[in-house]
Parts: sequence; C-alpha cells; structure tokens
Amino acid sequence: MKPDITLTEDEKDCLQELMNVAYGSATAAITEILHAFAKLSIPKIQIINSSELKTYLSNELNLEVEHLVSLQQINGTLCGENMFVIDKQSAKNIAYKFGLEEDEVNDEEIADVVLEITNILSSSTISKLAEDIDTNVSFSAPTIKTLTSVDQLKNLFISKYQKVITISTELKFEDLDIHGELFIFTTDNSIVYIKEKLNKILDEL
Amino acid sequence: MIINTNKFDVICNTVDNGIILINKNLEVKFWNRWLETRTGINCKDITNQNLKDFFPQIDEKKFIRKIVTALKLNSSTFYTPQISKFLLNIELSKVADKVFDEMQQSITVTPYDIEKELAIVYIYDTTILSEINYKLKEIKEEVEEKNEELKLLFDATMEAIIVFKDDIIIDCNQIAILKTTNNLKKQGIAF
Amino acid sequence: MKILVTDDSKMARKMVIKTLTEILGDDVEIHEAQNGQEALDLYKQISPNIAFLDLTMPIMDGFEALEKIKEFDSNAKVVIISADIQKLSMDKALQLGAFNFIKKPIDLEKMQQILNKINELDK
Repeated sequence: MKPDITLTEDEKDCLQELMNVAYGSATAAITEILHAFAKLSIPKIQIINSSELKTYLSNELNLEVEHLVSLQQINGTLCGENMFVIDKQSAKNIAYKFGLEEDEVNDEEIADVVLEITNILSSSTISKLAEDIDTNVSFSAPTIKTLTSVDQLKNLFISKYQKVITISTELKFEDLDIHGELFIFTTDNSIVYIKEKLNKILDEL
Repeated sequence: MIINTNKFDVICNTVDNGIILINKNLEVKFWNRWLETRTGINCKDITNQNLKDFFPQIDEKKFIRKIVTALKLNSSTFYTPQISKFLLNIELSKVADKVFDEMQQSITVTPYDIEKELAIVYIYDTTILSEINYKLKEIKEEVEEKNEELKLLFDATMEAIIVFKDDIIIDCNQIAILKTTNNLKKQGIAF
Repeated sequence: MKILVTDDSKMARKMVIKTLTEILGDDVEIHEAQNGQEALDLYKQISPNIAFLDLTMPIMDGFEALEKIKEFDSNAKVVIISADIQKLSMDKALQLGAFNFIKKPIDLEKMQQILNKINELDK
C-alpha cells in the first residue's frame, strides 16, 4: 500500500503553527544581528504535485526585477531544500545594515550577504522545526544565482517524487525597505515522516 | 607500526583538509598538519596568536561576523567558493597547468564551544573544481564570440539564408525575413 | 472565570487551553476567537477576566486588537502569546497595554506565574 502523502487540515494547521514558532525564532535571530524590527507574516503551506512545482514558482516569484536566489540543502530524516528569494535592492539594504559602506557594496558582497541571511534563516527555522518534531538535521553550504526566469532552475529528477510541500514565509523590514521570501521544499519520504511527527503532537493535545 | 592512541590527533592530522580551532578574537588554538605543510606555519608558532598577524589580507569584519553568527545560532556558517575565492592565501605550487595563483577554498565555520566562544574552521581545497569552472567559462565566452561573428556574416550577405533541422526552420538571416515578408505582402497575405 | 483565547491556529488555541485547564482545572469558561476582529467582538460580548491574544493573525492582527480592546476596557487584562519573540514586539505590546507576554511554545511555569499575578490583582 502506497504511503499517504497528503496532509489533513489538522496536520496542516499543526505544521503551520510549528513553522510560525520556528520562523519567529529565525526572525528574532536576524533582527538581533541586524538591529532592526521585522513584520512577521503567516506561513503559507501547500502540498502540490511535483509536476506543478515550476508553475507554482512562476506564479510566486515576480522576476521582472532582478532577484537573487539562494538555495540550501537540508540533510537528515527531514530533508529537502530551502530557497531564499530577494530583490537586489533589498539585498543591498541588508548589506548596509551589516555595516558595509556604499563603496564596499558590490555584486560579490551582496551575494555573500544573501548567502548569510539564507543560512541564518534556514538554520534557525529548520533547526527549530526539527527540534519541535524531535529529529536532527544538518545543512550544506548555500549556493546563489541571479534569477530572471524560473527556467534557470533545473530539477531533472522531479518526476521521482509525487508531491512537494511548499512552506513560504515573508521577511519584511518596512523601515529598511527589505523584503524577501523563504521557501522550504520537502518531498515524499519527508512528508510521510513529518505526518508521523505531527500526529504524535496532535495526539498529545 | 606505531599506533598513536590519541585518536583526535591522528584524525585531525591525517584528514585531507585544513582544521583551525579559533575564538571570536581570531586567536588560534589548534592548527592541523594539512595547514602546516601548505602554509609552512607550525602549529606551535601560531597557537595563541592572532590569525591576522600571519594572514593580514583576511577580511576581519566578515570573518568575525561568521564566527559570531555560528556561535549565536549554534549552527555552521560558510564561505562559498562561488563568491569568496579563499580565506587564507596559500600559494599553489603547481607549475605546468596553473590558472589560479592561490588555492581556491570552501570554508565551513562550525561552533565548537559556545561558552568559551570557540569555533572550528574547516578549509577545503576546491581548486580543481574552480579550474574546471574557469575553463568552462572561457570556452563559453569563445563560443559566444564565434556565435556573434557567425551572426555578423549571416546578416552581411545579400543572400537569404534559412537553416532547417528536421524540416523545421531553426534560424535565418535578416534578408530571408525581408524577402519572405515582401513575398507574402505581394500575395496579399497579412504578416 | 471567563477566558478568551485568540489565535488563527486551532492547534495553538488547543495548546493554550490545555495549559490553562492543567493549571485551573475544568471550572473555567473558555471562549475562542480566530482573529483580532472576532476577539474584539467577543470581548465586548462576554467581558472575560483574561484575554490571550496571538500577534500574527489575518483580518486584524494582535497589536490592533490589543489597542482596540484597551480602548473599550482600559482595565482589560490582555496577555500576548506569540511566536514573534523580537524584543521590539514585546516592548510594543507592553506599551500598548498588554498585561504580559508569553513566548511560544508556552512554558507552564510562566503561565502559572501570570495567572497568579492576575488572581492577586483581582482580590
């Protein structure tokens, strides 16, 4: 019998709440480092067919303006990928907040700042989520691209999976005009694992 | 064969990458053999010294930030070779085929002791991968240049040129477009 | 005792209610709201002894709901329970008149302390 890789409403609600707490923790970490104040948004969770991933990304990402995309692999029983998307101007504004001067901010420095934010966000969020569902994760070094089209992202093996969970949250510092989005993608086996853990939590309530 | 019973020493000094134990003030507490052989700096000479005294070109602000972040989050931070070519400038001893003067590196900064503010810096030599990337980039630029030249020739001729692949038009020059458009107009076909 | 629990997440509300019943037993009347607007409307209807409020909610967020509840009832005891653990968020909530702030996930001891304080003030 094929394992069930859909989420019930209760499971989705539970995951959303766990993500809320995890992301709150991550945002607090960033704001401490940047000495700023972020507006937290409600995490959006969807389960889509793996064949629809590209369409999903085309709809979610507004690539008319130059964007930087940073990807980081998550390793462990809960495994998958983080994707942090940010427009170039927002990335520059983060660089200034990191203490870089106008003449120090070039493409390389901006990319490095985005990589660092990705790492901070993803390690805080996923580590907290992993802690709450009682599992361990580790992260590979993030990589970065400038994205003008979703076609630049190539997953030759996406058809191996049936479903993809997408969790998206916004990072917004209004006073600083910084706006980014974090996506977390996991697939079949991890979804089954997450379901088990979510149900354990729900049973205790 | 003499077996060294200190596993830590054996592992750290035989592994094929650099290992530094360092605090957030950049004071070195451990420097493994991989680094000794490649930098010529002995562990005993650099222990308790500031890394910047030996490598003044290090971006101190950025490095301290990465160490502090790793300790604060209790999670690794990284320098990716995509962006930061190297942390320690170690000259490569290559002779016949040398595209970079310094070793290209991937760096991971991992928290070791949060209370004592110590982190481990792992240094990986990614020169080979960087060289392959460099050569690919060169070839790509050559191909793009040749493409541009071909395009110029394509459009310079007075002859219409249409390129077919499996009965489908995959490319043509300006003259071909012009002549086709004119022909269609003459036949009263809107284009 | 009447308590209002507001959170857009059903699970989060259940967790608060579980903690409250562990401390106070079953002899407590608990009302639930899913967003700030519902919280404000319910508050006006039932006048609870304590209102627990999340910050990140749709339609009306916790900060706005807190402000409006305090406008309606300056003595309202509103405790914020939120995943938004930035210092500035906590400070803002206290400035707007929140009685206290509990970080998620809820710590039983902290909840106990707050309920004790409210109890003492009500005597």
